[in-house]
Amino acid sequence: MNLLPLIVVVPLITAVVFSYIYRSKYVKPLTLFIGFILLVLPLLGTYGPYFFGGHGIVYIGTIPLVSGIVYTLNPLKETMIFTLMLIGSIVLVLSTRERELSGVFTSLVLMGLASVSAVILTEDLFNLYVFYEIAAITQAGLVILSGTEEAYRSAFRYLLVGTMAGSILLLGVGLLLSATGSLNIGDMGRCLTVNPLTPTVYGGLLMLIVGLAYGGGLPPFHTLKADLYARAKPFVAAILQAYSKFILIALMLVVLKLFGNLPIFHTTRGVLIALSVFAMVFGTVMALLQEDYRKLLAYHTVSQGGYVALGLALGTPLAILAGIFHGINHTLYKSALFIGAHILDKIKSTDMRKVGGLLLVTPTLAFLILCAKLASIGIPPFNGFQSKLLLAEAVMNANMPELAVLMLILSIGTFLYMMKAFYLIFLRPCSEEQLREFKDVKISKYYILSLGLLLVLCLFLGIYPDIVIDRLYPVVEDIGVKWVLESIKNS
Amino acid sequence: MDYDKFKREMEKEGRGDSVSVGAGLTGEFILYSFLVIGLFLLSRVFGKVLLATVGILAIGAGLHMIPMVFRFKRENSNHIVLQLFWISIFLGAISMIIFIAGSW
Repeated sequence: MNLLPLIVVVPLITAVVFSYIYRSKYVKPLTLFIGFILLVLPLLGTYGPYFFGGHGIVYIGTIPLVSGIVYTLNPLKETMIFTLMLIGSIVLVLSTRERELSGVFTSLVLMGLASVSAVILTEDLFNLYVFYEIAAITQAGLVILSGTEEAYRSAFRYLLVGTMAGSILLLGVGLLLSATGSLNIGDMGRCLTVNPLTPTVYGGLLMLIVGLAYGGGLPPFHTLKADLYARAKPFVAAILQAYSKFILIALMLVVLKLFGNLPIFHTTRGVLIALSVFAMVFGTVMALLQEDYRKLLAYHTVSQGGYVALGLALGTPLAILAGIFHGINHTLYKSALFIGAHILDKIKSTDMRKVGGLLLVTPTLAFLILCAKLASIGIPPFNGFQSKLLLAEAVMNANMPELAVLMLILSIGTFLYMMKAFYLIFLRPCSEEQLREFKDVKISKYYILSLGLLLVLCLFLGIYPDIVIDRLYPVVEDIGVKWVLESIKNS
Repeated sequence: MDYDKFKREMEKEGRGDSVSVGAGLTGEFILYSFLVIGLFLLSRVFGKVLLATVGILAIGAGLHMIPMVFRFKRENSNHIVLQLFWISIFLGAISMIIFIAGSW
């Protein structure tokens, strides 16, 4: 029996339950319990399609078409959902250490996990849109829960622009439905390949790109996303960035499946590469200019999103693999960095001008954060090195050595702002009085353990990257755009 | 870019310490490198003299505006009007690119 729908249904139903019992004294133990259950969910499904409501394949003439909504599971989707659930689980466990935990927080995290899982699993474009919107609302809700005026403002701005971007995406879905007569992504892709391209299809593609840029935090929506991450509590930002990263990957894969084999993809590829490079550059430069550690991490997330999008935009199997692998790696080490920022916020503040000398107070934390920073910069033996190396190789194979040079320059920028933050927070001398103040703050062991667990995973994937790469490659080989490889060979 | 001039600009924002000035200058360097590398890539891929000329003009304009990083920071602020302006430009630009490419 295929239990694939439970990946979405269990968090969705428990989210409703938690919003109902939001003031109950059982919220904490139940949050812990559901946190552990989440880790089992990705293992419940079996590989292959799952047809909802007894639908299946119908034949119109001799052409097989999918009827109704279908979810599919493969090793790629399973790995992405496992990473997502792992971060969700860690955030839920950490939330039980917060004084003001309510069922509303747990409910929103679970709702987000359900919706992003559905975006990853679904093969139906309208179903994808519905869960994409729920994910956007959930993210705004999680930011609002941090309770500050700036958080309300930031969430409102995100939703305001989201209303426009979501409507444009829905219009794009509608245009593609009118052009192909189907909502199934596979069927739509086949229909587009055999029929002549019309302005309706161009419009649909344009609108998908707008939705993708908003959901994934690519320019010009990057300032909204960065603001959202910076205004949420830092450990909440860990799950927010995971949502965005996987939505970005899922939507890029949809664009590849729908338009990868069409002549229009040549231009689309250029647009997507440009957006990715803008995200990489804008994120790095803005991170260099920040004085607040949370904002620095927020812009770093934008810049790393650009790396992920670049891999997928290049379209070759190796580049897609590198992009997705970097997305998974980035989710892990960035969650560690955000949890580190949360500890810092508890000690004093994330404003780097207000802290200093913390190496003497919390040497373990300093070591763990340094490791997470090394992973994010791309220094061996951590996972960031493996995925960035793979991406650089893919960029060279795609005959774009200039982008490899740009990646190198940006890595120098990343190294500089990460080390600047480390110096200001942990190494800069400060007064005895300040040190005594910092020492008085008690840090929960849960935070240090979560940081340690994520870093062990980063180290493990850095030493044995093949464990993930071997699972992903057969899937991305099918998605990879064939003509890109051929044109590179010919040139 | 003259270090002292850059430092004075940073001091106006209350961030004149050497760590912040170093980071700001790196940002400036990255923006400039981005323009140069982008020009290399575009002129090689498309092989068009006009494109290369426009690219050189863009770099010239960038040099004229140096330091670019302060303007860049203002344009990347969280002000809703600026955000909506750039979103409108984005929508217009990709509509043009995709529709013009489609009509070829």
